[in-house]
Amino acid sequence: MVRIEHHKELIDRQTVKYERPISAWTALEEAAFGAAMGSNGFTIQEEAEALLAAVPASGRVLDLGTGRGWPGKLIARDGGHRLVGLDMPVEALRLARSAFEAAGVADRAFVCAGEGSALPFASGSFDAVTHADVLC
Amino acid sequence: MLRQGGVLAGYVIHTPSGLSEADLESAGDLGPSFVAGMDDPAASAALSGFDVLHVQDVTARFRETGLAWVEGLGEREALLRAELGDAEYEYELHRKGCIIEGIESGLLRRSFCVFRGR
Repeated sequence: MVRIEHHKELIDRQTVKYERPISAWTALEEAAFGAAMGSNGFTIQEEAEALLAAVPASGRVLDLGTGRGWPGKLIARDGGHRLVGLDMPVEALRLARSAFEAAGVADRAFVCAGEGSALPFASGSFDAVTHADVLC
Repeated sequence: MLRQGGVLAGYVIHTPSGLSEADLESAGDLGPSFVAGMDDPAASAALSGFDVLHVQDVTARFRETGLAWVEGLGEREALLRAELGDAEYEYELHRKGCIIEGIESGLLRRSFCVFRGR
């Protein structure tokens, strides 16, 4: 069963989340999880590392529902992969791009607006697809 | 978009197998906003043309992370209310609490799944 109700409301809800200031949120992350991941979710550092270990050692990765760029930035930074972070809210993509720049991977990690049901890529474009709590 | 033999890897929040319709409805209410129930990620992947390389139940860690969020929200309530506003703060606290309730009542699980495209 897949239940996606009130699609536009959900996107609007996500956009509000991405537009709000996050300095206190960042401090919360650092205290609770030992690092500011730029996330609002449940994928902690060691889980992001497990994700990296699961993808081929090199190649192109599509990070579905990239949000603020976590854990995509870890995959691009620590794995050296070329990565596209895909999400729907434009504000999320702005934050993801900033995260990629801050992580020093802006030359190989990019953002793209789109949704999983209509991906703007040719067949066979990616060696791996990653996701964290988006394919639910 | 995935090449033949490529890897699909990620974390999936889902329901356990065998829930009643009422429990599935509750799981949908308690889970993250985009969540739904998918009681067996491996079976769904197989139906979609993937081979299962690895499936690991990470629900215990999911619960720990949720509890850490709620604890952190409580410890920094004043700062977060000032920064986010009361409505956003309450929303976050409510949503994280719902997820923990869903986990502890056995309605929500989280799995780390690695599949390979055929």
